[in-house]
Amino acid sequence: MASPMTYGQALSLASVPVPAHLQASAEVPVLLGVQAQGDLLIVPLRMAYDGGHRVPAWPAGNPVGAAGVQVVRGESTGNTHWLHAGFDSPGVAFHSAGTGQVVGVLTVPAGQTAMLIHTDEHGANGIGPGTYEIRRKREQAHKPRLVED
Amino acid sequence: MGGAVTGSPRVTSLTHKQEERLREIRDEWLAVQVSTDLADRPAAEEGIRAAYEAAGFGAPDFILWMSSPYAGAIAASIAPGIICAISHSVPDGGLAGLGDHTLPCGSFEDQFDFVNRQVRLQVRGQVGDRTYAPVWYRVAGIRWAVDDQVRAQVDTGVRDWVDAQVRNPVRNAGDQVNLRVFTSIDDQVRGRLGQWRAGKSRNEAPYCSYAAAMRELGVHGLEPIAGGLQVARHAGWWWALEDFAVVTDRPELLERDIQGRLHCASGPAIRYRDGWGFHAWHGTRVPAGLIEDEPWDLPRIVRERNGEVRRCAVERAGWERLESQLGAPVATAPDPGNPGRHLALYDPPAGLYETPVRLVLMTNGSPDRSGAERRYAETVPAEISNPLTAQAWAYGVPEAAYAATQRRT
Repeated sequence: MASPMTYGQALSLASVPVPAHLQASAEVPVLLGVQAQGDLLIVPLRMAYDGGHRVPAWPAGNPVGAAGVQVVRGESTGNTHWLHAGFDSPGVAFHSAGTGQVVGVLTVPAGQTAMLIHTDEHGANGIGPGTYEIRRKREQAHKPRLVED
Repeated sequence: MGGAVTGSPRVTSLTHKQEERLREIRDEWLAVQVSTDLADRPAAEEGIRAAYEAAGFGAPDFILWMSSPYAGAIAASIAPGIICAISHSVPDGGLAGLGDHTLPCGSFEDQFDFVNRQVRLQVRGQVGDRTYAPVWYRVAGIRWAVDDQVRAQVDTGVRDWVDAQVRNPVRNAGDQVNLRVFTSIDDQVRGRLGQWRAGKSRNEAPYCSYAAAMRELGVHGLEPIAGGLQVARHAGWWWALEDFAVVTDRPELLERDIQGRLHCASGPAIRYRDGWGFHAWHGTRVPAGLIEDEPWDLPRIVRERNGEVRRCAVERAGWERLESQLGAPVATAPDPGNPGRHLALYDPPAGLYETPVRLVLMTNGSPDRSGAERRYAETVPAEISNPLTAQAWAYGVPEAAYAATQRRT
């Protein structure tokens, strides 16, 4: 079972100082359900599609590796979201899906954890075993367009 | 312009040290593009004379200095007529820096007259029947000959590297400023001067960075562009006309945001030493009042006809201030995973957006760096009638999924 990770440990993976509103020694909550980080939504795959829509057959993805994966780039702010494996979690994998609403698909094997880390104020979200879509927002004005972080 | 030196080796690849040096050259030209230093007039004039010679012209009779590209654009357009009209008295005294005076505020006609006087006073000497034609195409045309040299001596892979790592970053950064300056001048003079001598956006830095890189790699035959490079390094926009040139000073103030876009929340984003300039918000030119006055309220924002400017006004005011001006929400709901915060769905005032939409307002899950809770608004289809549906639509997930959000950071 993967050991818990603190904010200090998680944010150091992305070389980011702990924001003032978080305690460095506090554990990052690791959740299995829907979570939001800024404009991103982490959704368990089965929940992202209701009865009328088929779940896409996403490819397996690649291990995120020690350097992590830059999941999305914040255009207005220069801030980014980084995906890293938690402790003892070599099987965490990410498939980058391109420029549509689905940013990518995250797979966390049993007993392991992943960390989604923000380089500015959002801190970190811990993700437990499962398969998840990471989605970005869209706006309606003019025509539907993707929200820039 | 001869061909490549026979026997000189082709540049087929770059060493690590060369790549580093080329990145330094890129950084030099990035800095030149946003410099607010006073122009080095002797150096720029020397460069201008060299550029004319390389293009096969004699040195220009006059080099006219203006303190802004706006005044320069007017001067370049009207100077030929003035020079033809002036009669032959040669004023005594030196060529005073009369382009340094301040443009009058007020009408275009006042400013036109001002530049008219400046040009008359700076020009001395002969009058002719000549017609003065822009020879920029000849002066700039040196490039094509230089490009031939580069193609003959440098492999495609290396040229592509220099384009991607040197020229394009310089161009992309420069465009942020130059295109705004260009359109600002164009808006102000178009219709008054007809086809003003715009040429293109007048930013020579990208090409100069490319040429400087090639020079660094030892490409021969690049001497003809040395003059142009020197002007670009030491002055602002310039125009080459037959027998005379108009050259302008750099801005005295240039403010940008983290992405390099023109932006200043407290005053003009760009200002030249004659007072010309304009305000900008994250890369959008905006009226001075948007920055200098108190943040606009919704009725004032809606009166603004330009959608991009409206967006800037909204950003400057902030939804914390504007939300109360929206009237009663269509519906509100607690924001799942964001304890104590709520979502609110509104009909926006007519004219705020160009298409029928509704607005969903939300609070950030984490305080921003100033410790503030910020209120954000996003647009959703007008048919949506509750805020959870709105958020679910925004993420493209079933409403039940958004409603189940356990944690928002």
